[in-house]
Amino acid sequence: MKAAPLDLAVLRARLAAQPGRPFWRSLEEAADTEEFRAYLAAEFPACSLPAPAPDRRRFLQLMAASLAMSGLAACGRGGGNSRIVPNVRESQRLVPGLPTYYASAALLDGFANGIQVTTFDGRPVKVEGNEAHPWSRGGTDVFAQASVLQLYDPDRSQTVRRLGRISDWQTFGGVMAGHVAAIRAEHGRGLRLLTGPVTSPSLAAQIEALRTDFPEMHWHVLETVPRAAVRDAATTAFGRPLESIPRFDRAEVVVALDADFLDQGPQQVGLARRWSDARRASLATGRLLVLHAAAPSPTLTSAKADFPVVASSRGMAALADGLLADIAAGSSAAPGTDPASQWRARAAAALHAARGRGIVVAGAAQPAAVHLAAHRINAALGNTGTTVLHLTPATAPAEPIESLVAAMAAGAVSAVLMFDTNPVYTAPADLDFSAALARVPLKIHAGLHVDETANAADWHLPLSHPLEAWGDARAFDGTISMQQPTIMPLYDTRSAGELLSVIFEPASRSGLAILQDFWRGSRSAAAFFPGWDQSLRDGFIPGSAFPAETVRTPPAAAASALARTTGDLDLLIRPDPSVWDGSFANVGWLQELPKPLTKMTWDNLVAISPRTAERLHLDNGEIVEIVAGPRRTQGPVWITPGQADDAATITLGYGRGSAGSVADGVGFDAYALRTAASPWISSGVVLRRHGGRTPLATTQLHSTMEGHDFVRIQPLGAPPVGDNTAFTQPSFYPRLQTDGRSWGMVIDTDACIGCNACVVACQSENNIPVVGREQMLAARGMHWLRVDRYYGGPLDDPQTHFMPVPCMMCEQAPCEVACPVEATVHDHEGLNLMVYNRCVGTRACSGYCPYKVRRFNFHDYSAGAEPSLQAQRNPDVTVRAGGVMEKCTYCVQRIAAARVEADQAGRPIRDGEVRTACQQACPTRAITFGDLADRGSAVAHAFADPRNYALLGELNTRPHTTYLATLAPAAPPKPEG
Amino acid sequence: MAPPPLFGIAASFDNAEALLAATEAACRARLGRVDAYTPVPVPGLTAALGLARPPLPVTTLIGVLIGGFGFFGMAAYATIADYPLNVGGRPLFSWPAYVIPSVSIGALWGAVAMALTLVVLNRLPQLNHPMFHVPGFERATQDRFFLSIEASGEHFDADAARRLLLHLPTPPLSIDAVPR
Amino acid sequence: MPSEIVRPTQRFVPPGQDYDAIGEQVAQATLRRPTMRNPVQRRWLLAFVASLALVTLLIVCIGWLFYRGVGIWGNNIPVTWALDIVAYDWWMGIATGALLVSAVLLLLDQTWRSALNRIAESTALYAAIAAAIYPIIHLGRPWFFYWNLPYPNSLWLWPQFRSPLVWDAMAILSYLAITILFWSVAMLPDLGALRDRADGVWRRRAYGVAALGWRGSAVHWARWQQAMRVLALLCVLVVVSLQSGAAVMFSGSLEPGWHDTLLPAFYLIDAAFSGVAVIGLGVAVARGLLPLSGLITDEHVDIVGRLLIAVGLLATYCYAADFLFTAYGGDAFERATAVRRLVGPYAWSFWLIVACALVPIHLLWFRRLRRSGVVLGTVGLLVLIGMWCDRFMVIVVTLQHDFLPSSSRAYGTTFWAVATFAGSIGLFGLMWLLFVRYLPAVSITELRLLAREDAEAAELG
Repeated sequence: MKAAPLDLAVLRARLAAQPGRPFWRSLEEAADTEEFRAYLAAEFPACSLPAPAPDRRRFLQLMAASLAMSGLAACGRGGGNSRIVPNVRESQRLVPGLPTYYASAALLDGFANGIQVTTFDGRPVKVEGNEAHPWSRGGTDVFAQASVLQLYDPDRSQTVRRLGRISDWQTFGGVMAGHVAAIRAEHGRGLRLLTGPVTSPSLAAQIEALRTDFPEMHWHVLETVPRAAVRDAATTAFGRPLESIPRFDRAEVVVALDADFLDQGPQQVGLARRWSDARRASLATGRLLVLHAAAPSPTLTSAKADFPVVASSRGMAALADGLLADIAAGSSAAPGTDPASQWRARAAAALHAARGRGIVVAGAAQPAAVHLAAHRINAALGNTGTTVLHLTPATAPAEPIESLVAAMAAGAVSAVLMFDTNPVYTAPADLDFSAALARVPLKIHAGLHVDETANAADWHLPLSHPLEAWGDARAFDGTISMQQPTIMPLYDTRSAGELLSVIFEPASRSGLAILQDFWRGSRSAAAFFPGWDQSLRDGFIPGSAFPAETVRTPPAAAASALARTTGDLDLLIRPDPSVWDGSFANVGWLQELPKPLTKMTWDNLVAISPRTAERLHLDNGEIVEIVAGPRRTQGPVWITPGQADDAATITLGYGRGSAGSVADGVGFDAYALRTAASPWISSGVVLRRHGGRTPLATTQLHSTMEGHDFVRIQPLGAPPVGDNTAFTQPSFYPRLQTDGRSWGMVIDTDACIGCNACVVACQSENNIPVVGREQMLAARGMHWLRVDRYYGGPLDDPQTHFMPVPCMMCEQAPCEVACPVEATVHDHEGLNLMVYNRCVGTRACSGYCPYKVRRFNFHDYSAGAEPSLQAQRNPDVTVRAGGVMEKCTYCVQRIAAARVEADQAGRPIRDGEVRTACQQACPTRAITFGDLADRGSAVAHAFADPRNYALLGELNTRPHTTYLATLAPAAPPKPEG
Repeated sequence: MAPPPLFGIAASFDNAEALLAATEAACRARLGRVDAYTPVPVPGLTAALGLARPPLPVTTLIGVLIGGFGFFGMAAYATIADYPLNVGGRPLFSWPAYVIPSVSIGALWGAVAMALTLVVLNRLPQLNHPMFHVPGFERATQDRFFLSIEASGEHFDADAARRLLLHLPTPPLSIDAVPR
Repeated sequence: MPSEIVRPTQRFVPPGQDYDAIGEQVAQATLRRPTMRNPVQRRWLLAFVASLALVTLLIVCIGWLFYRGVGIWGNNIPVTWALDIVAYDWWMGIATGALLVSAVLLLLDQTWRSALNRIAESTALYAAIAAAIYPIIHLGRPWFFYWNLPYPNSLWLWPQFRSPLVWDAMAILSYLAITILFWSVAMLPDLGALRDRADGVWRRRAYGVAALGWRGSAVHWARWQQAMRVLALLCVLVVVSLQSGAAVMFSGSLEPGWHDTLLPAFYLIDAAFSGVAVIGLGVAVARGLLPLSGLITDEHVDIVGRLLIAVGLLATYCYAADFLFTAYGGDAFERATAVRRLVGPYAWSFWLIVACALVPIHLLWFRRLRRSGVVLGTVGLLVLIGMWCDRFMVIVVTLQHDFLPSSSRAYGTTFWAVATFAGSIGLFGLMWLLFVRYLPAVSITELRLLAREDAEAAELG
């Protein structure tokens, strides 16, 4: 490399020469120069050798941190020729210390959810839902919430690497020029693109443009969570690949065949919101949108069902066909005695009763046969087009990975460019991707991390994080969402679009230029920019959702051929509710996030049913070897109520080899058991006790309500189970008057789907530290907000209930009486305050708290965080010291901000002006927050709801957090246990 | 040369009864302040010396009351007037909560008051005292009983004191003049 | 008022114990220099070295604790209080119990106590010191412990006087002061006696200064006797208020198993139980470590044994009543906790209470066993173990699973938690051994009074 010593004087002169204010931007430019890199190489040889990762990584972290920490205000890069609306250059709105908000998009599998990013002094610190976004409507999922931590992940890839050695973009560009010329000469023969699912119109257009230059190029997409079955079924049924979107608002009955509309995934935020809205609306009209769900492995959807049933995994197709038969026959055959057929009869009857107002929906994990049956039922009942709409898929069509592997193995591939995907880790095991890849002369990988694929590639290029790049993407319903950078790239990275431009275009364009060129088309600036600015402000292009397609009636075919199954146990492979397909594996918040149903952290599991556990004499935490044909791996067993007896379920995303300091060595790799032919299920697997057991860091050991009614059930038409005795019980003490306000929260347990978005939002808003596996095992998790999960009914066919538990803000708070130093006291607005700097750490308050919502910082957990992670912290929230008690504050910093604003304007705080982090993040709007004293407020109305009740209200703590009972159809559900 | 100024006349006995008799005689003679030094408290001795009942309980009680009510008042003042806070929705004047610590602190003040009274009245610590010059006085803490007629007041007469002691029914083991 | 439980002819002082002999024996016990040749003193030396080692361990533990934080113990959420508060309550039970017994016996004119009261009072003092380290070191931020003291400290904030923890802070302060006074005032005359027997000018000076120049003046004696009675009264007062405070530290909450109006009474009785037990243990040890069997006679052992049975039966009643009230009281959470005490994951603590504290005392119904110092010591030790388990049961069983099943978590202790407790035992032992070596382990004065009383009783009988 060039070792030309850096003339610091020259550098200083250059810096001085920069016009006006932006000193740091200038340093960034300086850092971009050849000399600066050479200087680094010369001064720090360690970073140019393939040194042991820690040294190099730590050094680069410090470099990156010094740039990141130095307030890279949200000014554009490259001489400020790019703008971020609304914050134009010297914006009056950018007041130091006050937040600025940018509309943008969070990506999951390429699909967009509308978000609004809160930045302080140019640092994104919090992701909120974008209320205006037509798809996500202000809700977010855990991944959007956690993306801000992923942005600051110190393990992110920070430089170009060539064969593992530090290189730079200039070198890369130089080398590529030759290759590209050669490829162009061959019309792109041997050139392959491999990406994750792409919904971005501009990126898709770029790739299309490439096709014209390189007609023989092939583009492959690796779907870690394949939607192929959905598309295939639609093709069979309607002649073309279509996505199905249920219209819950027009429905009375929903029958879910292992459906996933409430589960983690690109569809979750939008569909969950539509579902809960419809359920509320239906309640208002005196009936209930009833959900029947059959699933071989418990999902959030089946957990929220009024009539759930555990269906045998291999019997799903039969169940669907049976349902179809019942519908066709016009009446259900005499139901058998087993729960499944009774469920089928009930569902069929309900669908009959609600012709045209029913929905049958199947999940992406189900084979095409089941989707096909669903289409036919919907058609037969006249639901198609009314309650079930069919839309063009948002993902751009591309070839599957199988053909790529075949070509690579055949040596027909001369160059492969992989970005936004990690095939060496995520490709189905039976393809043996890495062996095939080894035969490719030129392997280029671009990603957020130096992951498994990066290590196998000749070139690794650092990819920009969505929060620091320009881009666009479609939501599940096709709504085009604009993605604008909320911070200058922390490192010298490129977005996917910029990457293609760097490689293939004579003059590389900036991400902004690419985006604008695409959307501007041939329009004049005058015609273009107003709408452009507006769409950036909104974060989406209005009316860009796909229109519903009119589809033909699916041809009535014979009962679909059932998948042949062998053995007595199937293995179901599902994305992980916390780390998805592994792309979020290095995000501490998500690793430590209790999974919705198992409440497990820092591990993935082999979920088996209680009966299977008995049959195989297995116990929680025992290590089993999973043998699926030639492939095998080991993992800890977890006995999961609601699991089918003929199926074990494992989740993806763990067992990473090269994901970063957080994820490496956590859990086991489920991809190792995956086959391209059948990515969701492999039959005939064997579980063998492998010996030994691993301690599992679950956050909830007891799952029954022990005969109490912590979660209350309100059957339709039954007398109200709620009681507003929270504040009316006799007491020795006169009720202290608040001066005007009295903050309160009402949580609708019927709307809560247990998705955990609130938990991560709380962690992100309140600087809650990650404590790590050992401390979680020691029961020292710091989550201020937890979601309790209770089971009712029989062990093998349970009812599942979720109950978010923040601080109850008791008026007669036991914790306050306990504290000897007035570190926790009540304020005049009904808040139970925690005064961190007064706390001496007697921990008496936690002992006195009946709800155990207080958390203690046993070791100074926040200390020694990486500088880049510190940049994420919310400046409005204290970073708590060790030895101090902490707890939910109702996001008091937001209340204070609103109070200041209201007082300045000389008006009262408007209802809905203060929204807690959990409330804002909730995709189903289960949380209502506001001033109980204000009779007109939403929370006051919710409090007056006959379903409203206080948790442990009989203790007369007078909690300000109360709950709305879960709804149930008039027919009383199974007895609670 | 003149004899050294006297503290008084000391006599020693080997049992309490003899001491008691001597004490009564000495007090009747009114020659000067009489005191007795014994290894254990001898019943009737205080009566014989005509001592008043010591005031310790009174001072202790005063201490208890001051400490107890003082603490109660302080707690009330702190929570009502000085720094009122809403704690667990309890009234500002949560008097039942103040009682237990007030009792403890009251007991503390009582004990301290008692100790002070004891030390002050006994004029302790007093590491040097004329009686320590009496030969064999160290046995006053073992098995001897000493009597002292102090040279206080105008009636004191050393010879009279000696005579008095000599003519007791059970004469003392020793009689010494104690220099001041 | 004369003794009720003591038969007039019963002799607590063997014949031939005149004032001088008594003084001689006690003085011998203290004034002799320890050597390895004498078996008694070898035992003392070994015990001393062991205690010293444990104290060193304690210092290491506290150092590591202050460096790493309370996380080094097994405490978690929900079990925020564990061995730390268990040990604190246990030590305070011992301390207050011993003091209570000694003070009450003094007020009741039970002069036979004279051979035991010094041991009792010293135990009370040292146990309290061993306990007093916990309220400070168990804090998350120990260096701010003074925010618990009753004055407007940082930012003019007072402590929160409604908090039972503040009551406890006040109580232990008063307790320490009063115990020290009671103990030292009682020792004044004996120090005088030692001064006059000590050989070697330095020892004489040391004891002389400590004795404040005590000369046995009749006037002093009168005030001294009064002072002792007044102090005893104050001791009873502070013990009651301290144990009530400690009990309300739990019953003041809403937690099942804690929220109980009878807890203060139970705590007082449990305290007396551990008090008598520790006196029994102390008597046995003192007889083993010192040539005092002439002074602490089988009669004393016998009496302590009877006391132990009496208090033990009271405690047994408390446990029975507790379960009975819970069973008949309507609260499901209380009942669940009671059941968990019997069969839960920490049921061993309850059954150890039964096995160690409630059952063994019944051995003492048999006169031969009752009069054996070894048996008394063993039973006393067992009772102390049982009382420790009682504190553990009350604290941990309730905390680890209170109302919401979702927040129930297991508690597991760590090396550091156990080591700290062991260290506190070492601290207690060290102080105790130094005491029996250098201070009159038995009250010379009161023993002499007793001797006289016995002599008179003998003449009567």
